[in-house]
Amino acid sequence: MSLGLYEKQRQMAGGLKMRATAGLADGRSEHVFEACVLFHEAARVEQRAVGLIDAAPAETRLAALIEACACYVDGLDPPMAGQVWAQIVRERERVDAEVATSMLSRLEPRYERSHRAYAKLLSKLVFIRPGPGGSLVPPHARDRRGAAREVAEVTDSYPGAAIWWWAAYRIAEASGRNMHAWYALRRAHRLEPDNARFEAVSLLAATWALAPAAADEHLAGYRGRLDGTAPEVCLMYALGEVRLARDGPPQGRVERWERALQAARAGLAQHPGGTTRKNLRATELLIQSYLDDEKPTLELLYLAGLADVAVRARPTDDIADLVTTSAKEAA
Amino acid sequence: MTSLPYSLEQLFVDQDPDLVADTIAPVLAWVPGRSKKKRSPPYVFPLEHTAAGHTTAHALELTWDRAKLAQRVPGLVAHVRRLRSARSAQREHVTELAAYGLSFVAISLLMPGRRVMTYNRGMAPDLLFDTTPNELRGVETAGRATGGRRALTLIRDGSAGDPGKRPQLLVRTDIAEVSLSLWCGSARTGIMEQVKP
Repeated sequence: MSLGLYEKQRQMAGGLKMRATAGLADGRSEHVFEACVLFHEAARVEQRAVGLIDAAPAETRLAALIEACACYVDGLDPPMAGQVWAQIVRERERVDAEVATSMLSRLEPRYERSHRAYAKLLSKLVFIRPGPGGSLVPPHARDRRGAAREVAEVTDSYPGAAIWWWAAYRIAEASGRNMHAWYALRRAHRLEPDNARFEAVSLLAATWALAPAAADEHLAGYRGRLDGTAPEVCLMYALGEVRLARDGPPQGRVERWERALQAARAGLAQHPGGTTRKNLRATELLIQSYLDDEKPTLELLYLAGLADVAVRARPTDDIADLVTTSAKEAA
Repeated sequence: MTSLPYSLEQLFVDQDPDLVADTIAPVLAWVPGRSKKKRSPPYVFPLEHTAAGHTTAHALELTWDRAKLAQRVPGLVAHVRRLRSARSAQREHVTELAAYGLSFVAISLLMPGRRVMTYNRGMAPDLLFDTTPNELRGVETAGRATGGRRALTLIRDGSAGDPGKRPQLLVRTDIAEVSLSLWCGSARTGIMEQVKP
């Protein structure tokens, strides 16, 4: 039982929670968002801490979940709070009923209030249909404006809900509002820094949202450390370099293509499945054609297993854009 | 009634500065209150302390050296001004943090040598000395802006439909030791009571 390490993690979580509470007390939106970020980090630390104890007692496991859930409730992230609450519902069965009720006496009413308020807000949405089978990005531009308004309403009330910042990113990106898309994506990533999807997409999004030098700086943070990084991150890094090569001065292109090729191969080396593997293979073939000074054709999409993308392509479509769109849609 | 003077900057010695720092501005904003009559130090809290079955009446006399505190907490003066006057400041969290600050003071005075090592958000006790699984030791805190001693006894003992903190703590088999630390801003008063063992 690593009690010393457990205590250190709990100590760290306590400091994060106290700082976060001070941020909530301030009340200004930027301080509240920072409080949400701190609460999210504290939740992760609390859940990691209990994993350090061999055969932790049921009460200790339940306590860790209660702390994590409270962090997500106070961190204004009802979806994440709900996921942890599901674990609480299971774990409490292993604890004496009276003790469990007492342990939950503070959190339970707060969770229920938060859940009711969130459900009420979602019930008013018209353009966004959250949940399985629901649609984040309406196909028509006029509906996207309504969706953007609705998502803004949700993120105003729940600035800690990373999934809603992701929705804001998707809608803004589809609407061509690049800076807003970037802002929303960065918010999502700050709340969930371990989320590979947010991290990966930011590498491509930087190339159209930021000035070239800033985009290059963002990608530079990943150079030399892509081995073992999530395949999605490798893919988006590669496509980011391809885009910067296309839009940038000719003298830097070969170097970018070589870095992009290395990244695509680093992603493939991890043997990803499904669409990620196909997109990585298509990216590899695309870059190889550039380096061979050959014009890429639809054939590379067929070779990569992206026949469904190839059959929808028009003769004038840019192959790099097709590969990029395929990767974005899969993200 | 025993006088217990305490200068707030001493908390940075008696307790973990990382936990204490965020409670300082809320204490400075909350304790003086709104009435002009009682807004100068020392701020006196009649404090009823019960331990080992024995109850003692104290008078906590809280003071502070603003300049020394400002050295430990950057931006303190502006922060206090903001918490007192800004409409967006969240009153319930200011009261909550001030209660933690006063609890740190009471722990330092009445349990000398005990150091809070972490803070719970989701369940009692709020302030923990010891996180050993199923042997938790700490202090459960609450604050109220108004209501005096009656408001604090309701928190402790409960009322219709609300079991109260003391009974809730007694059934917790994962807690080896816990005290209640309850504070009211107007009328200023405090209760510090050992509940377990």
